[in-house]
Amino acid sequence: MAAGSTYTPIATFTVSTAQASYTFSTISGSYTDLVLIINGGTTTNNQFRLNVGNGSVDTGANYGDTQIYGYSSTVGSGREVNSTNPYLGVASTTNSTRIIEFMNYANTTTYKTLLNKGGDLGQSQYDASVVVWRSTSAINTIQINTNAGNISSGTTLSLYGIAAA
Amino acid sequence: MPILGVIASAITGNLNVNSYESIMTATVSTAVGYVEFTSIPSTFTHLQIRAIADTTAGDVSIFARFNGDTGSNYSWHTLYTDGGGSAYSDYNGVSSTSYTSFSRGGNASGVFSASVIDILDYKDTNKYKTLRSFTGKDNNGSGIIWLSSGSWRNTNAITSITITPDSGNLKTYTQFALYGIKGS
Repeated sequence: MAAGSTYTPIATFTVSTAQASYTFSTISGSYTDLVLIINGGTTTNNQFRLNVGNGSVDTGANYGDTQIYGYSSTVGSGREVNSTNPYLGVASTTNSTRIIEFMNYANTTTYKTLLNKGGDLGQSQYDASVVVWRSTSAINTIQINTNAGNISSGTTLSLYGIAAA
Repeated sequence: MPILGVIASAITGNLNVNSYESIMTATVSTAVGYVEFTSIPSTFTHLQIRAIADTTAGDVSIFARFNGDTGSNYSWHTLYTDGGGSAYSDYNGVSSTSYTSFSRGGNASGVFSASVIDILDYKDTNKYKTLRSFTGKDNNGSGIIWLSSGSWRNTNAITSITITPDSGNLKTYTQFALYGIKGS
């Protein structure tokens, strides 16, 4: 039987002054999945990137990602291997919206797989990607950053937890 | 009407999180040929399945059937890539015996594919059933992304879902979690 509401707001942060990154720390391990919604942009035409970790963010070459995108009338794909700061999609001063699913983030058996989809008006791109963090540690720290420049003021980052029965 | 999960990017800031409920979860403790959700309640408007999965047979599709229907009553389309620079599409327009691309096997050690699947208006007896899925895996050097949609050409309410790999078994620690999304 259904177990009642399981989509729980954990934290929301609104960027008041443009900043290079924002970190969610000490995330509870009591959910099955996490969902992070980003609505905003960056101070120049850039990319959202991320790092995750347990206790602190892992900046080692422990990530990989696979991407698919549509840019204007062009479709394509790409990948990063042994990345230290995996790709989350393009962003710009015009509105960007992105949703990232951290699947089974708290288990200590598997590597962690993230699903990501989003679009950006300024760069006329829609993309999706999958990111692997090659660690069996639970994720309790998530940092959203960029490849250059800052996250724009007014950007909201909303973190939710989903608990399975 | 709020719809959660992968659709939520369009309604940021307006999520009604009280409309999303866990129904049941299947976690594989020993490799098995399939998992099945039965007696799915009709108290929701949409269903969502969130999964991590792998198979013992390598890179094969993990597909789904509804209400035990093994007939050629399914169709699906997919946009996918391996990350090598190109993007591709594939389809079975009318004669599939299952909805494929529910998830995917063939992962490096420690890696599990991740999937989010939405099944829309699952109890509406006036409509064929429509679903979509987003699956990805990355083995740090190879990977795949599947963005798929499809239908089950039947107006019956969905009361059971059977999830099976094309060959082999679902690996230990595979997990499919079923959620219900209420309408207003």
